[in-house]
Amino acid sequence: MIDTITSILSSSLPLMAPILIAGLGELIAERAGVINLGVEGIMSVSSLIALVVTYFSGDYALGFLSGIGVGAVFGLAYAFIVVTIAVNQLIAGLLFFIFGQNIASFIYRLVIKYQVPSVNPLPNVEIPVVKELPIIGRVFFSQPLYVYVSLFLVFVIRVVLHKTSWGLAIRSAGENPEAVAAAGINVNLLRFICVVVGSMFAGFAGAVISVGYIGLYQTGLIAGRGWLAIIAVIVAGWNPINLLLSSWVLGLGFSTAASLLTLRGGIAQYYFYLTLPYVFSLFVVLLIPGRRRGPAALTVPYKRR
Amino acid sequence: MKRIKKSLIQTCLPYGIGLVASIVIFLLILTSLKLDPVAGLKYLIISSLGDSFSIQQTFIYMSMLVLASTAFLISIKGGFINIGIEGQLHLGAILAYTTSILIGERLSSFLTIFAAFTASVVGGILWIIIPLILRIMLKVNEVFVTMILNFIAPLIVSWMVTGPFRDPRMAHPQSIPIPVLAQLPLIPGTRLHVGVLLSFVVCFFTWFLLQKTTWGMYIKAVGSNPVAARAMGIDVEKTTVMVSLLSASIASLAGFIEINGNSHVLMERFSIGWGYLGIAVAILGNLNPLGVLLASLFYAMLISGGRGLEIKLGVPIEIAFILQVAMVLAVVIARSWFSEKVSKL
Repeated sequence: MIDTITSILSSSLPLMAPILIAGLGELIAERAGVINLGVEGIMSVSSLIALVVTYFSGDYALGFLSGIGVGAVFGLAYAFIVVTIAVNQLIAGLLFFIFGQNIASFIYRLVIKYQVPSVNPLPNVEIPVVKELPIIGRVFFSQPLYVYVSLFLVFVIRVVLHKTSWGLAIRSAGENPEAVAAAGINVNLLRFICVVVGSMFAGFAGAVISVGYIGLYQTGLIAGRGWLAIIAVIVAGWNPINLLLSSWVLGLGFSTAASLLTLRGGIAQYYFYLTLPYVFSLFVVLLIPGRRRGPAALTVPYKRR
Repeated sequence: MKRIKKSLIQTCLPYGIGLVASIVIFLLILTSLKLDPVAGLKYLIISSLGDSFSIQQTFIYMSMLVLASTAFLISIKGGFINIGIEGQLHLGAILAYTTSILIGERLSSFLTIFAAFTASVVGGILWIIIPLILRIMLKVNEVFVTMILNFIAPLIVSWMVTGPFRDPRMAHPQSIPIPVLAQLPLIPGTRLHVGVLLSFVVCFFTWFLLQKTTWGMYIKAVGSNPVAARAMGIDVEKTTVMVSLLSASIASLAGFIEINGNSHVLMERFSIGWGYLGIAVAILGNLNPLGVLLASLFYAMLISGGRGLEIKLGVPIEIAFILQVAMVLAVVIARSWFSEKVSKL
């Protein structure tokens, strides 16, 4: 029993990581006033490209970098569309989601004609001594590198957002862009950068899933986690520390389902367990108090006067 | 005269730009695959309109898109963002299929089909109730709830297809076929099933509802300005409920005609993403039923054409979807560009 709980807890962190990372990126963009609903699509493409690059080059770092690069490309396009041209963000985001899914499928169908890429997923980083602690040791001190990276990123974002002047500018751009403009800052340039950075985070998260966690790609690999990242941000009230919690809860949904899947059971149980992370997330969605407001200028394009 | 001309240009020019954009992307993709773009274009056109088989295939795809996009457009008009169409059509398929199988041969064809139709609508409604309740009672944004449900629905289908309803004769998991009685009849003189007609009827009904009835007026009022609508005495909650139920019902019909009309079995991944393509079509058609009809036709041609490209040149069919989304993105960008001044970086 303890063993099962430990394993659910310890496997929840690698499952939390991509949601958290993508969520952090989305948080940056949304605090600046731009929502990106295309995260799922971006993650689909970046996870595929990262895997293919890692497979053909043998270089994991290059793979992760290319995933980030994919995020950057999509981010540039999306930022241009919703910040510069001021297209409706919900529409553009949805279309990017569909676009990304189909681009990923297209490239994947081309690739598998030649080879089916697969790599070894990243191993756990074991922190000596502490990892021998009962339960906590396995859960917190024996995790793949990207888990620690994601936790570090939470800290970085928290500091940057709340303790630096750039963070203040970002937060204000999402609440009251006029005030930011009055202070002499180019609001749309700031939003543009935040969107691109956010998208790069999403790209990184996609790479984490394919290269870091599972070592291969298939259609539907992302399985809604891009959307869950967006939900996690809202549930967290756009706060990085809370985002850690909300992503972890969602990660737990996946790890519990994965753990249940290893139990004996028939076909019905198998598919039922697969639905669990989503059913679970519906309950998590209930945690969004109806009256909580996001950044006041979220989805509102800023026009220079 | 000048104003008419100007607004005509403002409506049509984005489409021209969209068309150019998709042609450019088509050329880019084909040349990077080292294929002849002219041959590609030729196959695209032949496979979508070249012979009676292709044309009928195009109409079948068109009917799916018409239903999906109509479902989306009516929900948006009413201020309810239903992006759960993919899930709702799965539920429509699930319930229509189950009803068809359970009735078996006991009733007449008409009754069986009618029962499947009703069951399908129930399925769609089932899948919209949770987002609807969450929105009305807890003010939770329906975008996320409807989207999450999209991921659950295909798992139910997978369970049915690999479990209780599996056809033991097939190596690849597939459900046992529905009885012949439950199959939609064909339009005389063609190989098209009446589901195609149904989609046009639904589209017309939606246009009529929105343009010619008081309910349509309420829907549009609530969709554009709920605060003002409420002040005018319109029951906003009731209208939201009605719009979302309608939207989900229409979406579910796409699943109904796919099962009872097209394939006659339930399969995993039976949907190529109609729910999402429907959203793109609705946006392309500028959220009006006539535009949506034309956009559906055009997109359906791209899909049939894409199938042909896949067979003849080995290009993955996803190229059709990429072109579709590229086109609507370009159109949307062009529309925004023309209607407002572009903010400078």
